[in-house]
Amino acid sequence: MNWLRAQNSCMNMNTEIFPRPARSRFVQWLIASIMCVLPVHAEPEAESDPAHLLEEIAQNLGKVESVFAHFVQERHLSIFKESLRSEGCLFFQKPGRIRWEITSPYQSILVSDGRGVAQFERVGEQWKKLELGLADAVQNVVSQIGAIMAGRYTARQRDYSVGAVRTADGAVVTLTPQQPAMRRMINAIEIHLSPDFQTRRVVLRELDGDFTDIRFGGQLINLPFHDATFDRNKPADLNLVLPRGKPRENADGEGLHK
Amino acid sequence: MKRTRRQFVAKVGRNCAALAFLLCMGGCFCQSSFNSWRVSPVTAQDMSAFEAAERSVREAFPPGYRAMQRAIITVKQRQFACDGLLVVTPADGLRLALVSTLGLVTEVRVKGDGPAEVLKVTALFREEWARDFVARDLRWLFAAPVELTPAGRLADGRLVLEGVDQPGNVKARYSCSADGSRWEELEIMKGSRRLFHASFSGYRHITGLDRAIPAEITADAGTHQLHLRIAAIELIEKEGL
Repeated sequence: MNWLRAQNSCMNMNTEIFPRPARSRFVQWLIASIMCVLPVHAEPEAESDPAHLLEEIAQNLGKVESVFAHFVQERHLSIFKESLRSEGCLFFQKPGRIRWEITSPYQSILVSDGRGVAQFERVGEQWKKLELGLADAVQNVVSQIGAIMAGRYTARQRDYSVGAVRTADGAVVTLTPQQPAMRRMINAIEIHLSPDFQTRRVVLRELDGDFTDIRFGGQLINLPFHDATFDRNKPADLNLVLPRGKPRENADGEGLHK
Repeated sequence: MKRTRRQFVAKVGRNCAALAFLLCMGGCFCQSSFNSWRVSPVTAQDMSAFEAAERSVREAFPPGYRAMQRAIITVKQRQFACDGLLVVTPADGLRLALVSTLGLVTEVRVKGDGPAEVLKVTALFREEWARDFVARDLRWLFAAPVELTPAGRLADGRLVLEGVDQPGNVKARYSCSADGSRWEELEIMKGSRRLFHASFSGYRHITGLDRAIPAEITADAGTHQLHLRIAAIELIEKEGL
């Protein structure tokens, strides 16, 4: 996960920008390649009015009260051939309850009950609650996940501009940072939606060709969650809170677990 | 009962003296704990165990591998969870990318005895922190030491090896199990002061390697504490990334 507002708030708190090392030719080539490839991936159809599409998405996602999804997160780093890959589950309940649980290759829970955020790490046979540093920034990360799952893309227009295109597979919403501090860290956030406007993929494109690709599958919409799902002091075990229901089919779900 | 000003000053003075005494004693105790690795001399019959210990330290990790690490870093009682992608090859040395919930923290490279390189600086982390802490810890924990010599046995029978003297009067010491089969601890000394201490545990076998590797490391660097687990690891057969 790597989200704009959190980074920005973090930078405002205590960080400085340092001169970057010179980019290698390879990195420059990679950036150029990605720039060339992007429009091909998006496969945009003629869209007369992005605002109309965004409104349509917001209307559809406005009916969503809760989402459960499996996810695969891959972080691609330009200087490494391989990616950092993790898998887990997302629970989202309006207005701001989130549980982001990584189940492989390690176990970790990031949970917000809407009032605060907590992080737990599985060490040995026990869950250990962290004395979380930069909790405000982490809370912003969680809020950003919630905003994306709820389709509230236009809520922070001061921070980024919002574009949308309809594609053969659904729609792609692109958030482009507007603040200079944000633009030093990230190029864009792409949100890929299925034809029925489920969030099925989020790509965070950073500078130097790095990107994080999060694919969602096996989504269950508007099912009630166990009360202890979002408990910041002792979140219930995953097996206890996994919702029962038939996931809605989508193309991303098929390819989720490579 | 009213206390006179003189009585009050005298009492404060006594308390300060007591506090100063306790602080001195505390300092003494701390100092003695830093010298806990008091060793008895090496004997001829220890040599095969020391050879095994040297191998255990040098070959604690394979020469080429990529690993995903999960680290909890504690700084001033605040904790940060990070993922680490570590790629190690004989040709390129050790490359580490550190990623937090908030994004990429830094990328560093350590090559043999050469200087550490900070490959990527981000707004989340200062360049000097990447060099002074991340690259330094990476070298101490994961780079195989160049030369080791037997230093002796601890009272509990464990073996202690020493690295070569490094600039700034810095020396690494390694403790291993009594038979030399497992590397257990590392301490970095600057003169008589301990700069860094790490424990290695959670040994587990990985595919393609005939020995177990330490999959859990806890370290105390004074400025920060580190709890690191190797979540996934695979060998790199050929050199290069």
